[in-house]
Amino acid sequence: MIDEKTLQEHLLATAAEQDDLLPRDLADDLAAGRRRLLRHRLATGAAALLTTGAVLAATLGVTGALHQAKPEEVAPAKPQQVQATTDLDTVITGLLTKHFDPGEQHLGYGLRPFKLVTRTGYRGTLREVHWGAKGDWRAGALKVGLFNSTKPDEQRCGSYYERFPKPLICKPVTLPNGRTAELGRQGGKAELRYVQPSGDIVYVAVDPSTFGDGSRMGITDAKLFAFATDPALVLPEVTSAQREAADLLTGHLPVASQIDAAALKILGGDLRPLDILRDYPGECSFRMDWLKAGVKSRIEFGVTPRPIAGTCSDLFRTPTCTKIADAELYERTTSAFGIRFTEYGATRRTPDGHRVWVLVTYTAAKRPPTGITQQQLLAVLARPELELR
Amino acid sequence: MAARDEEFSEYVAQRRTQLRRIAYLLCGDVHKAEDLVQTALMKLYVAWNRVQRSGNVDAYVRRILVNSGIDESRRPWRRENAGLDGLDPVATEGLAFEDRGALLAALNTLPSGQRRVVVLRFFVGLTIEETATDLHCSTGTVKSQSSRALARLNELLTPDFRAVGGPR
Repeated sequence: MIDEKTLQEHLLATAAEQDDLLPRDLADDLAAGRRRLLRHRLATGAAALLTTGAVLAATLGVTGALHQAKPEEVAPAKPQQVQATTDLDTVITGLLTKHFDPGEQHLGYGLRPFKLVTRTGYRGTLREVHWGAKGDWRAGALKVGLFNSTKPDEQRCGSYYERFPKPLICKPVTLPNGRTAELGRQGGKAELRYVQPSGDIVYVAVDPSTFGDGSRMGITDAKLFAFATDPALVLPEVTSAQREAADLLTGHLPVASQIDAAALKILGGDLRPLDILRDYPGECSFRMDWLKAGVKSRIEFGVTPRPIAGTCSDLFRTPTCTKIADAELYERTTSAFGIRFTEYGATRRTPDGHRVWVLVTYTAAKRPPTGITQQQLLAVLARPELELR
Repeated sequence: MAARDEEFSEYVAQRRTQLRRIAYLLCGDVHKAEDLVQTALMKLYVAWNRVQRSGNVDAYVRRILVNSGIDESRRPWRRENAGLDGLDPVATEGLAFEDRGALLAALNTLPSGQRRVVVLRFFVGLTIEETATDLHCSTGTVKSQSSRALARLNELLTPDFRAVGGPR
């Protein structure tokens, strides 16, 4: 018969094989927990004044108001554009939870945020979220969009199910607020498209059968109407500077391989690209892990176009930057998480006025002796590959 | 909030690796395991004050992991691969320990209840009573599922897993 002790040893060996895969920073877990807590409070109505004020402020584009409402800022600091994206995600996921899943038992938002995408004639966000039920964590799905488009049939009602054997027929309905929307309903399946008084469009498709039986999602017409007309559901405006910055990025971004090559030339070692953040208004950054001599560094490279470049202090949310030649440096250690974080960054203006920057983070009280030096950061920043083409 | 952050961070720093291992053994997929752990930690953060007062944070997170149903996510795969609902044809040939996926493949053939029992009893090291509490079932159920799971693993795995001194 199988030996229990041997089984235990093999279970441990098998489980440990994946320890180094998909590394995750403690800061990310903490930030995710805080977002979840905020959604929870939105859903339960606790701290209503605080959160409602913060949400309205955030959706009106007053970035930073949400963070002031939080009792404590998330550290380490991130460049402002990234945080603004998180705000939009927080607002939408909070409202989805509030209207469709107040018990927080079903909706799974995964890792990808609702991000504000801008392109010619379009500003908005659209993505799917999972709906889990007992026995199947992806029993259903919601496709949710909030956008403004010059195309009148952008994400039209009925588009989700048009390839299905029985497409939904959308018809005009009058909402409790007296305005009209388009609604298609077939049992648990539904699609709603609502034009807000602002002209922005709310789109929701309810798919109860992505996998298995998710027919008990319970997303009624009334819940859809309440979500679509929630006054907190506001598409942030893109400022003229952001718009100009986004235009500057279009077609001129360095590609990931160029960033990797620039980093490798200076740093050597083993680079593991994690993700690329782009398409936000004026935002583009590349995150990667750098491994050398047993030390892992989290590095983020970014390019911020001239109209929204700001200062070093703006970028890193720090009161002090140290100027060295044509670059500026900053370094900070924080113990906000019980664990010490050390982060340091460097930035410089390119001859065209754009700002290139690099940010390094360690989960440690100080920079490891074999970690990336400030001189290396400055050398990376000087690489032409990082500049807009 | 500062105290919550501090305590939560210390807990995550100490326990995250173990939680990922539990999730990985339950679902057999590192991406799903990571999703599961992140979800569990988000719920833990929200409930931190209450859970910490109860004095058993590990049990709270562990119960989220084992009761999440993520191990059922292999169902779609099974549907897409008709005929695999019973024995895994690879597994019937006997799985060598040298095959890194041997144990996972064998675990994957177990019904979800048995798989949970194996992970809680033989990886986490819970007693029969503790396992029953986590799974909201009787100790008799834990015993029977444990017995069936071991018998099944015994069929599938090579003698490398067996006791030198014979049956226990």
